[in-house]
Amino acid sequence: MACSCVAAHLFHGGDFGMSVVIQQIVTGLSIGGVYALLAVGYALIYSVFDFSNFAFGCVMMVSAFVAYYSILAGCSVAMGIALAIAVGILFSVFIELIAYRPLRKKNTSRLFLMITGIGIDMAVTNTAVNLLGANYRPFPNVSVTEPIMMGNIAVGKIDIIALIVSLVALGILWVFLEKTKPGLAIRASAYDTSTAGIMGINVNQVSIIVFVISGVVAAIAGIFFGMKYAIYPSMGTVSTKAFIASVIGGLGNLEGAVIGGIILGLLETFVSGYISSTYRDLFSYGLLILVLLFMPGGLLAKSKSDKL
Amino acid sequence: MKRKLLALLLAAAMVLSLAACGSKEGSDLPGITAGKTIKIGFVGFLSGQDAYLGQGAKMALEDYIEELNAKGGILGKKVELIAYDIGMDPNTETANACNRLIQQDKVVAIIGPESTEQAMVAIPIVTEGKVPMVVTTASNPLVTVAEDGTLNKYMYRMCFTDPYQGTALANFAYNDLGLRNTAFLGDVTNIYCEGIQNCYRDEFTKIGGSIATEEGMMASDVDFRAQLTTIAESGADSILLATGSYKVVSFVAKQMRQLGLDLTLLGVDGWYANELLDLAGPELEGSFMTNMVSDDDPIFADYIEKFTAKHPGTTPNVYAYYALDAMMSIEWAINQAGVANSTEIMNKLETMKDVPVFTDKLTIEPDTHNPHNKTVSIIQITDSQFKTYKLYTPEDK
Repeated sequence: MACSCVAAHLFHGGDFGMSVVIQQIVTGLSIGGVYALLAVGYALIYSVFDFSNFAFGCVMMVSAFVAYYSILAGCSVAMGIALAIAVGILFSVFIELIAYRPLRKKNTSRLFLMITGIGIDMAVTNTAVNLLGANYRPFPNVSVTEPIMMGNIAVGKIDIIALIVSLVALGILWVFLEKTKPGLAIRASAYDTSTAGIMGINVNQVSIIVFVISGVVAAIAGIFFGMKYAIYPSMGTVSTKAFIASVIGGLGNLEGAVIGGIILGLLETFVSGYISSTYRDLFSYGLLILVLLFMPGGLLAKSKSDKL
Repeated sequence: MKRKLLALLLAAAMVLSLAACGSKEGSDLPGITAGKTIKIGFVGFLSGQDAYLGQGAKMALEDYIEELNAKGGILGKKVELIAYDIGMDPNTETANACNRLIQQDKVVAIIGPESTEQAMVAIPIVTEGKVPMVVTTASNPLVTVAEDGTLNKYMYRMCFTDPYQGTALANFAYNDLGLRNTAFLGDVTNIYCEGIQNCYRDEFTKIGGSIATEEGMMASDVDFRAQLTTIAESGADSILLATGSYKVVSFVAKQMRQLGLDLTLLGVDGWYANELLDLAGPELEGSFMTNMVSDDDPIFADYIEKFTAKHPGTTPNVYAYYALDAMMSIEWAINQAGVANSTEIMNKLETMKDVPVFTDKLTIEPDTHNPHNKTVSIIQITDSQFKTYKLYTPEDK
């Protein structure tokens, strides 16, 4: 408690104006970080298959619950996280194999893929509510509430860990896409899926890799979200915000998704802090509409050839 | 031929319906009169994230009615509870449940729902059906008295109202805790929250305190650090968090800790859920809240033991206690009236004066249909438990 008293003291003495702004920026970055991670998951699949995987939120939720129950059952936190990522991968690929791939084979419109995704998300979420109850559960054995003080600014430990892990994950993803052969295959498919297929790239294999990555991203986001807030069946709804972020940044564009996520996190924090949180979503969706009106491709709209 | 058949059918239907009327006693009374069994409705959250509100109440009512029937029921008639769940789509399902209870099940009284929003939905339905509804914990004044001051005759309430607890909390904060500058963090689209905030503001500023800032939020939010940073800047010494969502309370408490904020957190009866302590017990250490009962009150000890023995893994809560109060009030009213008729029950309920019910002796104010001078429990969260700090009973005006 000692440090929190000091903090309260600092808040009340001295020059707040600037430190409050910095505190809000830190909070905004921490909220935006989760959006960015999830937005990358949307962008990746969109870039290859031209549709948004709306079943993304439920993968995130399922992974978080796997971590929760495995840690409660006696696994270490690291083991629980590893299991969560493993299940995230399996579940994501499972959705691709049973839902999306059969539809793509039939050459259905992309719209139906998205509706299928929404259906899966609703079904999984409601099943979880019925089986597990809609209670909110704390992430077990992880205490993250003590802040690290940098002058007047409080930064949550979990925010720092989340930021580092997200950056590392995005870095690995970038290296994978730019420097490896499967990465090249994904970029080729993003450029033109059918041509890539004709050129001898196994598009089905590419799809598996893409959904594996998407599962990893969803699991990491679910774990951090669970640690920062709580684990509950409807936690996947945060992915709606991530979708907005990826549209703002430019659908199918990875850098755009990260930037979109961070812009959205900052915008929401500043609106909540300085105007009113009642208007927060008005500003978020308003920004979305403005971007779509004036820059339909998103902030980082690129030509199709450099989508990734 | 067809016409004759139709006429015959119609005549048969009329005879049957006359017979049906004749078989009931007190059929000349308006509203619903019980047949062979006295049916009582229950409307509440039995599923979903708010199932803790209604599940314990339903079990407690079923246990009570079982015992009652073993002793011969009310006026020699067996009592039957008909419970409907409103967990998935509360407002719509409350309307459906009330219509069904009145038109199809023919109940003489309805217990519940737990929250103001759903109670408001029920008002026109029970008024038209002439069936009294005894709400357990819906605390907004508008449930029993409409905005223009007219009494909702068929609505009764077992708990105290929001102004009552907002006023009590403001007095407690100022006099007992020495707080002078409170910030609000509340869901302004929720009438429960708004009601408490308004009454707290009125009372707190009247006795000399001030309101530092009023920050908004939405119950579906998960991050409140932006508002908390603004509150920290405002120089407040306390935060009133008037919400009915324990999730919000736990997130706010954790994020206050993350931001290093050490302000007194003031809460209301809507906080009261054991899940809250699992989520953020240590972070809430030292917070205060008003509540309708104190679970650690020795008068409940025997009952809690009996209940837990019968339903392993569950403990009764305030919603169960107030449902029992409602049931006992209805039982008292039927006995007083000498007939299980819905309008008679409605008329008798407002004559309750010092009638012993489960939690207390109950007096109903005839002009508001609220309980008179209910005790407010001030609870402090210590060692991750709800502990009674003080009981606050208002004096007669």
